[in-house]
Amino acid sequence: MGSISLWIAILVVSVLSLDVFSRLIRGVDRDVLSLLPIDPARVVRALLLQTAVARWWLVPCAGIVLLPVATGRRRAVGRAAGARRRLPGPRPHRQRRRAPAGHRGGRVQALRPAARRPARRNPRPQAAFLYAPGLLVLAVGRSSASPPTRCPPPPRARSLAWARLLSPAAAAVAAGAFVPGLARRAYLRGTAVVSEIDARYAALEDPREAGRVYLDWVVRFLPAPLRTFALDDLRHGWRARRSFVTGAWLLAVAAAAVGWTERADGPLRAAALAVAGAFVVGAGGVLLAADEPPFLRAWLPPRGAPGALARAVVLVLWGLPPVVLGALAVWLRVGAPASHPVWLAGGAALAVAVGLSLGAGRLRQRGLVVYTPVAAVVGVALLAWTVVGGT
Amino acid sequence: MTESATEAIALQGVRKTYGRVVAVEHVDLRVQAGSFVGLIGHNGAGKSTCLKMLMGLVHPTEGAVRIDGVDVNADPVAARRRLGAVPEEPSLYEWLSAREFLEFVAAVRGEGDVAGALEVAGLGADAERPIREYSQGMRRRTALAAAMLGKPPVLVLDEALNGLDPPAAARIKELLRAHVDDGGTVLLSTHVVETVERAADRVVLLAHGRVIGDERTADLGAGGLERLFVERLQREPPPAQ
Repeated sequence: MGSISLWIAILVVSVLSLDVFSRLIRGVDRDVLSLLPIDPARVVRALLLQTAVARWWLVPCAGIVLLPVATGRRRAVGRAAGARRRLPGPRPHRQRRRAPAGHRGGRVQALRPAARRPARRNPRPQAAFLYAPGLLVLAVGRSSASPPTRCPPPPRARSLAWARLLSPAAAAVAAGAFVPGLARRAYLRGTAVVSEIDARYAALEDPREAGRVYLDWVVRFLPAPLRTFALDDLRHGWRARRSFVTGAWLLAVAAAAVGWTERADGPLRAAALAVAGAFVVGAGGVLLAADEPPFLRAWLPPRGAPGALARAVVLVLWGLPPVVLGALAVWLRVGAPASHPVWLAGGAALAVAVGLSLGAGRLRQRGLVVYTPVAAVVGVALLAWTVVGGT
Repeated sequence: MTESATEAIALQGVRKTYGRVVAVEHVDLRVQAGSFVGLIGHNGAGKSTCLKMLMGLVHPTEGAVRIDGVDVNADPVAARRRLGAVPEEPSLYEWLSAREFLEFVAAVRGEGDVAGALEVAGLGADAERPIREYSQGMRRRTALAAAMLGKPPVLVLDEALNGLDPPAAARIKELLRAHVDDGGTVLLSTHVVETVERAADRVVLLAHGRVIGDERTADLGAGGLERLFVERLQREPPPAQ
């Protein structure tokens, strides 16, 4: 269960990193301000504050999701310990996997050549832009992961846990001292690096590919009344809300990674990520409805039932990877029966997320306010149901 | 005063490559303060890359870029204080009106006559409409007005007169001329030969990333620039990449 909190923490940090990246590096402000004699320190501080104000709810929402995990921690730890005892006798690689420091250090070591390879093809500052959020996620994951304990923590350990929980805030305040200097050195120069990246991609790009978007080939297999709306959603989603689609794929890869194990809680962890993926995609659907360009609303026929059905199809297509990859990993590694909870929880979450997304989308700008808490509660309920069903 | 002290714009041995593609090949361009220079070249000649390097939007692979004696890459903020720039595709805050946008730019620059800028750009009647509703020409005029706010000594304009109707283009040319007469410097990139012939004091020809000509417009006869450009272009075959 501790690993669920780790994954959710990584998810929150990923969302925040992507958000900071989109505002600070790729935002419209850079295009406008790069020509003006701005004070980069003030600009960067304002953009970071803007991100904090826009995303403050992520942390309490993660807390709500983790509440059942926190209250059931002791029981879960006991169960996990029992599951470990049931595993076949000690094998060298299993021993290595369980040694926390060695294991995590080993993973970082293993990543180094892979990180060096793409960095060689990019100038160093570009590599920093591209891989910094990933390294941040890795660092947070590494610092959050702790070896499982079999007994309740003593009070001193509990206060240490609080200190660790509050450490990101302290780190943020401490980092704030470095922001002005870093911003003055890097913000305006960053524009040249971004344009370099874009110029290289533009040189590689086939102009015929420019108009294509992820999954647009599916449209030709849909009934005629749905095609226009489905293509509209696929294009709008891929161009304006791509982080939700790529986020679902990241969760899919993560679900496959955690499902590819013989540990007893592997299927549950894969199911948790499949459920998260479904609700992430559902949130993307709410935003699609909220920021649909007004000229499209005027130009296209009223969406009605075909429009809703087309959006449901698109959301299911985007949300399938975490469910399918997570379940397939469990199926191939452990067996078909073990993958049933992943199929059931992921499928149910996808159905609920799509329905909820379509309903909340009718509220346009306020849709996410309704969607987020309901999705969090339903997600937790689904996971609880999976846990109960699995025991 | 030394010669370099009066150099408003200096590209020194500048080279820019994107992987194997050479966009600009050892360009040397020096523009004295109080001049109006036209940069002429075919599509892909390297004009925009040169101007982007002056605006600090692209770093040169080799060489140095200075605005009013300030290295653009070493001290980007100081260089931008001396520079008003209009890129080929200007970026503006779409949800602001022209007046709000110009007020914002004036606040950043610490000075600027917003009402006057709106008037000279011919945006007075549309000043309160959001920029997202503007035509291409109006957007360009807004960007020009923003570039000229606070009277920076150097103006760098990339195809800035494209999309303007003839009266608006004539008005902008008058404004640029007045800026030069006041001691300012203008570098205008365009592929329209007539614009440079009529407005600039000097013309620099660029082809395949290299300077292939640098002439005073007063020394060219009517239609002379076009003929010169074609002749020089024929003498300079594209380099093998």
